[in-house]
Amino acid sequence: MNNMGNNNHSDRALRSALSTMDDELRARMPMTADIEQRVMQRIEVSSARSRRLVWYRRIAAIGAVAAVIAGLAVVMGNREEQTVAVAPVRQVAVVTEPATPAEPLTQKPDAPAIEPTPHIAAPRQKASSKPIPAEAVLNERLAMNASSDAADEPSNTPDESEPAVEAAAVTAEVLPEAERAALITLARQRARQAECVIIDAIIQHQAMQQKLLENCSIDSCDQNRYIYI
Amino acid sequence: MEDNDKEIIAAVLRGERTAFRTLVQRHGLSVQRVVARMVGKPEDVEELVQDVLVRAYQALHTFDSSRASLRTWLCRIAYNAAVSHLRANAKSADLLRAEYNEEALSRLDASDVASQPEVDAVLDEADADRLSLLREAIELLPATDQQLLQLRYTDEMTMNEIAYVTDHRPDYVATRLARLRQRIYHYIIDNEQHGKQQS
Repeated sequence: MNNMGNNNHSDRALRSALSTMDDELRARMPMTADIEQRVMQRIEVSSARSRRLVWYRRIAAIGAVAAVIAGLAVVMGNREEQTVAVAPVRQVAVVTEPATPAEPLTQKPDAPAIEPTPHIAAPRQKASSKPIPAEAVLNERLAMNASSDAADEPSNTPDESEPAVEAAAVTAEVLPEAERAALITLARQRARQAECVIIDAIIQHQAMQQKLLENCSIDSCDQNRYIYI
Repeated sequence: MEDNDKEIIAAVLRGERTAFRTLVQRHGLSVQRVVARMVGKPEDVEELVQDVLVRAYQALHTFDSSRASLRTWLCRIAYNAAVSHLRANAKSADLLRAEYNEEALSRLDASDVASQPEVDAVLDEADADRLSLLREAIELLPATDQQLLQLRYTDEMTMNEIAYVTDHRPDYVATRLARLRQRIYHYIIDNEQHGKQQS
């Protein structure tokens, strides 16, 4: 049965009928130059649209890349700001009056007022050029000690260049354990108030300096510097 | 012709849009015939022909000359466009006519299948009365079946080409054509016998 569709037979009548119908159709709907012209016009329009689309896509791609770059810049900027915001201020010293065995810090209500100086960010060289109040107090106390000691040992007058260091060293050495602890507590309070890290000291007592650093949660500190107390 | 088509296609793909005009002049009529056989309204035909040719231009880079000739490829696009148009306009007269024809011709399926020599003899005899009946029988067929006959007998396509155009298997196309010949044969025989009885 499938072979009946093949072209082995002539089917003249069928061909003739179909051909007549096709001719009539062609006569009714001629392929005019007008159709051809309109096809070419539509192709022109379509091509122009395609070219525009290509440009739009390029512009969109460039815009997308620019947006990504801008977004990255904003993110990076925020991250930088955040870093700056959380960075601790590490350059302010805590200043207080050194305690003496005769006048323990914790038992001396009339001691000079301790003023946090968050603005003080000076390394030791700067501090020596512009003495801070505690240094002046120490110098004064040292002078008083020196004058009282002068009668017994005149030759032991302290060197003017390092009065505070020596006095504080002595002070720290002779401080009882409880007063040392009080000093540490005070230093911590001052450090917390000033939101700072202690960077300087006149206490050379290594163990106490270490305690101060640990209790103040100092991540890094130049151990060779002094902490003013 | 095919070599010329290839050169023109290459020119179009290089960006010479005006070269496509030559292809339109060469194959536009085949496209129009395929569309017009299935779509009744002339304005719809014109619109669809333009659509098909523009679509062909846009998809020319996908044309594979190893699978079909350019004319066959264009006829395939045209056939699909026409079928889509018929489906989109399901209430159109074309589709109603196709459904009616299918129903009217269904009774032929129950008829005895005539032998091939008998069918050949009837479809080969081209006198005026026979031609008139043949035409009536063809016009009663659905649009897609008329298209099959035209592709086969007027456009003289091979089974493979018709299968490519209509997206069917070649053996299905052959079977379908054989059934159509049987239907037309029965229509002619029935009407001729009915005419004799009346006379």
